[in-house]
Amino acid sequence: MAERPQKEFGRFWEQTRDRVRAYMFCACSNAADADDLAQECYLRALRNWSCFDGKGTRQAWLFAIARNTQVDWFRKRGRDARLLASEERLHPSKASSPIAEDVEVIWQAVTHLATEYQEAIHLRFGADLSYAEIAEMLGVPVGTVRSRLHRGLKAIRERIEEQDHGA
Amino acid sequence: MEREIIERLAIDRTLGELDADTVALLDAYLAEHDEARQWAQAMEQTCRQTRDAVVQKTQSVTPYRQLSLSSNRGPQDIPWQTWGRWAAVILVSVGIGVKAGRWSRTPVSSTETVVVQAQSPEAGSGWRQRMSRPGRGFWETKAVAMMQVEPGETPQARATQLGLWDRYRQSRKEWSYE
Repeated sequence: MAERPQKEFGRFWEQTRDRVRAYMFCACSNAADADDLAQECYLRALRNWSCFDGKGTRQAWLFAIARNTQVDWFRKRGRDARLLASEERLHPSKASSPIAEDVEVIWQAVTHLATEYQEAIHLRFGADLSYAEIAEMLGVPVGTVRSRLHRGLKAIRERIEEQDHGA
Repeated sequence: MEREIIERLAIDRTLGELDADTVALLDAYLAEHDEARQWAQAMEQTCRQTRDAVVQKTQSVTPYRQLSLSSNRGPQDIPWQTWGRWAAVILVSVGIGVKAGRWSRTPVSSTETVVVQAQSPEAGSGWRQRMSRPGRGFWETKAVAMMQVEPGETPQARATQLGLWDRYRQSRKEWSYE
């Protein structure tokens, strides 16, 4: 890789690494796996750095790679991996830092959402992508992203209200 | 307006996806409709709570391994100016060395050379000393040749070359002869 693209990639990595890792963590709920996934994602991005055609943003391109990396990771690990990830989200290990109870309630509510709603929430709040970037990444219209986000948040609110009434 | 539309607009406003004009229109509408304002507030709160929860959850895990791409700088990362500077320094040093070598006088030895002939370790004493001496006569050479085979020398020399097992066997043979 020439010097300039390498520097560009370095800067890009500095800017996006935390969000990529957060997005990976949303999927696997495990810090070590999130690190591995993020590393794999950046390796793929580095290999295909010059293949970016300039359509859309680099971020959307990177997160599309991140999403594919997740899909491959779950496929490689088998269908039990998703169950394990969900289990980890529902019953986090003691190694995780103590989190406020209401945060755990919302996190579990996110876990119970349908996959497409979860994905929209992870990409918007975890990866901090705009509607347009999420739409470009997922290959769907912006209206669909908006709709998924709304339904996901609505389901979360209902779950929180159920919890409040139950308590 | 329907509740769903109000909620969607509220989410968009919280996430900064609405332009300023639409935000102003929405605020004006919500100011007039209490029920719609409650829907919007509830959804905005859920949106903020979810965002905070996801951010806290993803940041609560062990911090990202602080890797630095610049820390693993290879030779290809060194700019060509640096290589050029080093090459210039080496060239100047070589040039100065060559010039200095040409200007200096040819070294001439000021002392007389003394040739010391080393004595062979074999030329120690006895017949070896005589063999090494130049200018021997015929009989002397003959006598020395006869003295080369000295009694007791061969077995001892051979014994030193034998291994422990061979020496043991040899001694057994000698005992049997006795």
